[in-house]
Amino acid sequence: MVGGYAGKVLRVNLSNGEISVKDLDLSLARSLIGCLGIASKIMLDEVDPGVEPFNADNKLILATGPLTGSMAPAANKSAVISRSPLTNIWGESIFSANCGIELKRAGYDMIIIDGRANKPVYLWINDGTVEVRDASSIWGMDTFTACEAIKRDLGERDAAVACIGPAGERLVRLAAIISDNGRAAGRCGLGAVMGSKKLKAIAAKGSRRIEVADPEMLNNLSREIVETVKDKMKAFTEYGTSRGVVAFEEMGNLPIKNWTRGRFPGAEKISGVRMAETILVGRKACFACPVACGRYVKISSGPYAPLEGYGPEYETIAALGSLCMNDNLEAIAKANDLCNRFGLDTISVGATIAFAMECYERGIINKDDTGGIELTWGDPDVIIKMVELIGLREGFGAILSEGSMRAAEMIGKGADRYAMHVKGLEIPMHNPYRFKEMGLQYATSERGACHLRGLSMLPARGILIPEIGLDKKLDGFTIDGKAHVVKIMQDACRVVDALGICKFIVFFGGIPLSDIAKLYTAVTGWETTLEDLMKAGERIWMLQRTFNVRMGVRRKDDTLPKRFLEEPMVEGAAKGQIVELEPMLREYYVERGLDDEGKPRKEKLVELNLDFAIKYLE
Amino acid sequence: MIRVNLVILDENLRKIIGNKEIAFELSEDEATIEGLIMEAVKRYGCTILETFFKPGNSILLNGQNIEFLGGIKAKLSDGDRVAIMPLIAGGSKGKELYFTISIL
Repeated sequence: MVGGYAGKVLRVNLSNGEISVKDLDLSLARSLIGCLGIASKIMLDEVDPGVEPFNADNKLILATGPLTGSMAPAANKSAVISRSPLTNIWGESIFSANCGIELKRAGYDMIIIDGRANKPVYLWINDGTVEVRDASSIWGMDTFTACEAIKRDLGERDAAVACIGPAGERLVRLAAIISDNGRAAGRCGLGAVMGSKKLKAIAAKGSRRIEVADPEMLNNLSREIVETVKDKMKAFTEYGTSRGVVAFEEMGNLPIKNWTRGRFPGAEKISGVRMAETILVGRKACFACPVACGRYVKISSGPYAPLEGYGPEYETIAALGSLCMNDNLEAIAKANDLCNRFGLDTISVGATIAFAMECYERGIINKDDTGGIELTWGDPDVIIKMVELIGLREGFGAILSEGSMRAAEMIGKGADRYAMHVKGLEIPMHNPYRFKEMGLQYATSERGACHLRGLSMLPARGILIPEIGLDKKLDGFTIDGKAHVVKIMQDACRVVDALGICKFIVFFGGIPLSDIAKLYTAVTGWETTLEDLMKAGERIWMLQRTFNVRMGVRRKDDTLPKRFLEEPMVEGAAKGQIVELEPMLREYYVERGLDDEGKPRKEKLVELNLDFAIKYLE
Repeated sequence: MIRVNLVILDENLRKIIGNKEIAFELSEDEATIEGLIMEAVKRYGCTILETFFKPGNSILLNGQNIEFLGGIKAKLSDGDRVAIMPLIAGGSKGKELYFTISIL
């Protein structure tokens, strides 16, 4: 018996209402570790460059991993995959949505959605029954209200829902998908793909048990891992992911004033420690997680009251905080709550507002352009106002709702110099001036600038993974050996993502990757080594690269904003640094088996048993 | 004499010392991380050593880990910032004491 997998793939065509079920291809599942990898092949096979992101033929895939929903620690992740309207390339966002777990309990490893409904709908998967239901009365609601309304409509309190808010409905390219347990598939604007399909939500409920090949082995391993993780991640439990804000500022990692500054006196005011002392009222754990890094906050008085809900995590705090020179934690919590309700990616929203603030300061735009709003650095109320306008695609927000790359094109006058993105995806909150490997990672991540598709700065932060050759601490300011680190960490992250476990508990919890391979063996019954998994991770990365090449990505696109390449950091720990990308990139292409144009070499694809992908490069 | 700031990023230690930043004056010949640690011990007692050398904690000189600057022998200049950074999370199994405590 193969455990872990539900064994079925669901397809729904929203144009004609056709619903079909097929068996999961287990040999593909084995070579590509489950549905994230399989989805990569499906996207290659079915989405050609003529299928624009908002075209009805674009696919929207919800994919679980073989461990998702099992009792393996923090095995709670699902991936949403599509061609991104923000980047026009591989779009993917991973979240610990309960609806992915319920989907699997209902008997499906993944759903592939295509077509476009002629009126608002939502999808309801209840064990063997799949229904496309009318969402006309729910369209327009914010995400949390919509999730509740859907549960009422179904009369099912136990249904798990992931939905879009007004931003996704209005095709805001920064739109996220939000789950009823407060987690976001934030990046790449995938909420807008749902909006373009008139799909408000996916709701699921299942009653099957997820079968596991060797429950005893799984239990023993899990117990051991949980003990280690709990101990090593105490600080995450106590202070959340923003535990490190002050230390990040000191070491030059915190992004400040659209990446132009190296010191931020307000760092302490927005840290996870301060949050714990002030607005924090609870900690939220995703399914089967012993850590609970999720925050729950309450503001009872002052200009941002009343507010009660999911609190901001590190990326949000930096994006809507230091990046915009805002040191008001309550205002960040308010802006975060609005992003959740409108269904917006906090990283891209914060980065796009910071871009606009810099344009305003430089006189590239003025009050006539912004509808009278003074986009002054650090003004918390302006940030909140801009979140609303972006979410509703109104006023100057309509321009910013296109993301920083397109907004810069629309504004003109050299504004593109200040739009901090790679391939259209705004830069997340770890500083490539400080950790050069993050620069290379951003330049080469398959979805554009991404901190989670690699975590390559870990060896420089003293988190070593000897099993995959990362056995010594590296200097973040140097470029030596970084191409190798980025490649290995990208593959390792693909493995963990594809399995459906949280990368934080694996890498910050210090779980040996060979234990992860054992978890996979225990769940599926397939004898698998870490080496097998790393090879599969490389395959997944390479298929996604092939997809991007098919969409037109070449070497010239594997780059960084000119600021990082040409303007030395002026202060702080990274003072005087620039990112020496070219030499790292040259080395990286060799490591990866890419040719001078950035295309996968045929012999590399053959070596990885990906012969079927060769035709897409011709 | 040079003046350097010791920056405490470790919450627990900050509670004991009461400050985020503490100024130290060091003579030219004691202007190293080692010299600063000795001064800190004189002022706050041996318990501060635990923080400097706690497994997983790092010592940063102007934001750079001193491991890449010659360890505790790293030279200090006027206006430098020395920070003790607690382990944020995780790491490989086992501890990583990267220099021996030989100063006392």
